[in-house]
Amino acid sequence: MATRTVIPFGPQHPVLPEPVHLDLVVEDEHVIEAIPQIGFVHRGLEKLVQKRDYNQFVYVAERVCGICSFGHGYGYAAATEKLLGIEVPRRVDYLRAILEELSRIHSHLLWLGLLADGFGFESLFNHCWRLRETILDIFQKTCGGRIILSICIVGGMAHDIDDSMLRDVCQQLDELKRDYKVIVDTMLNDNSVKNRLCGVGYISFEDALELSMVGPFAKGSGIEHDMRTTGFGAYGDLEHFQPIIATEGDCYARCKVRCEEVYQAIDIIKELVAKIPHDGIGGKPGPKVLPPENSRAHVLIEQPRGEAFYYVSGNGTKYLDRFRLRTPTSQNLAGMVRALQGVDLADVPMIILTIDPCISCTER
Amino acid sequence: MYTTEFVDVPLGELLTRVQTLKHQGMRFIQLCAEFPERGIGLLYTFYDETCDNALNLCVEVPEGAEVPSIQGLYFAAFSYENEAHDLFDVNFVNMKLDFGGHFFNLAETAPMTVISPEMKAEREKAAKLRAAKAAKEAKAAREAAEAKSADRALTEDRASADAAAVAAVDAMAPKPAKPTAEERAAQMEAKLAAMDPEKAAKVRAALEAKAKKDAAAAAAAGKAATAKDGE
Repeated sequence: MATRTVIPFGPQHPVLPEPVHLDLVVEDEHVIEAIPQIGFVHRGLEKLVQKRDYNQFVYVAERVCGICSFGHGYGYAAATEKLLGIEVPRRVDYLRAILEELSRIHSHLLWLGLLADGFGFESLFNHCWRLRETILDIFQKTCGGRIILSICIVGGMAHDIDDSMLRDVCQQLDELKRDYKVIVDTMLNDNSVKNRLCGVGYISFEDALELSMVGPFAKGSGIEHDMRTTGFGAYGDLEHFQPIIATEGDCYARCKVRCEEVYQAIDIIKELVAKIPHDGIGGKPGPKVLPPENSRAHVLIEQPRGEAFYYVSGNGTKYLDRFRLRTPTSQNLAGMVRALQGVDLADVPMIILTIDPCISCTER
Repeated sequence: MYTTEFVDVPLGELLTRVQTLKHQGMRFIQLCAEFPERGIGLLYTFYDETCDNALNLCVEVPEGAEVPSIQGLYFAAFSYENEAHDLFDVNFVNMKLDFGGHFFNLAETAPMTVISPEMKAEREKAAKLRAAKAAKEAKAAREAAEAKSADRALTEDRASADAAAVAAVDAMAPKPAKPTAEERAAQMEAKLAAMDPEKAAKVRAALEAKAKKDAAAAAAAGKAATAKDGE
């Protein structure tokens, strides 16, 4: 009988950009069991909702993560608006959806670069991050910040993005699409990439459903759950929206889904820019607008890594009782444990990278 | 757009309810603990397959109570249960994956149950405002009730005073004098003159017969009195 060994993986590891620890129980280089542990950088940001009023907290929510920062501000603002009974102008919904899709492109390009770096494809890493700079430049031009945008506030947007600027964004995205296609085609058709990713880290459709997986991790196993299909915000005005899925359930399927989602995000942005209404950008609610006592509201938003859940509860004061952010990564931890069971030790980094865990979000 | 429902569930029924939802094919979205003024509560969120309808099970957890784990039904809950244990000191039992309080490496126990001074001050201020508002409303209601009862008393006083005044006026008013036999006979004659002659004749005959009868009765009574006096 082979000897069982426990190999600690992380929290500091070359393939892990963020700290997660795994105890890998291995037997002849096969992983029998993986036990995750987080909590190395827990910041208690949810608790801060009791010290910052609901208007101030949107800036804290944005700082939960550096990759999907806009999405967290958006989710918090949307949940708080629901709690307060505020209806924002349609232009605000459109601008938020456009920025959310830009964040998706930015996140997927960052991930693709990290994946390429993970299996030693360094030139691809450089190209992906070069393209990502385009999105960061768009953020800087339209919002003033590259990572923390601070444009989304409770009740609307801090400032408008004019139509000529939006048309300029579409032009830049067309150029990015051309460059991106070359990179993606190279990557997805490369034999060495396929050898590392195809058939590795398999999760069946049934398992994905059973483990309540979300985002591209679930879509790679054929699950069609995508909160954009519910018509949330401006997504309800899209002519034709279908979540991108793959049925293979392995690392390669998850990569394909993310790569295709970049094209889809560009198309969504162009459609929304063409349709954007001009009914104002709302504004901060007055000091007398307070959440009712014992009021509760939540929203689900499709972040780059999957659906994120935002819950707020009010007590009649300007300080909220509770802010809860359930990130896609928290929901995918169970799936990650299942995907690692029975794989070769050498495949563990690739599997973790294709799941794309965001520990900063999870350690809010 | 999806619908959202919040349902209060007793702690004892939690597992049964979650089992039912699992069989209905509901997706488990999240579990979180919260610590409002009334104590620790748990919020379990589920969505249907279409992501259109959300169901939230709200469970109040008495201090020190044991909460059954739902990891056997939804394994994805393991991170939330361990998190609720570490941050809120919720005591889950029968967990499949139990980190024994070491899921998060925290410096203090149950940090999320500490109420910040700002929050406490704001809550106290809100409680005072609520109490002042309630007192104001109670005072207004009391005053309204008093005004109403005063009105009623005034109305009743007025009614009784009116009745007394009417009685006094009635008492002071001169009573009409009883008509004499001649006046009565004259009134009757006037009435009979206005009547149909045939009917008037009948009435007149009846009146004469009644007068004769009265006279005979009076005469008989007079004789009897005389005889008694003679004895």
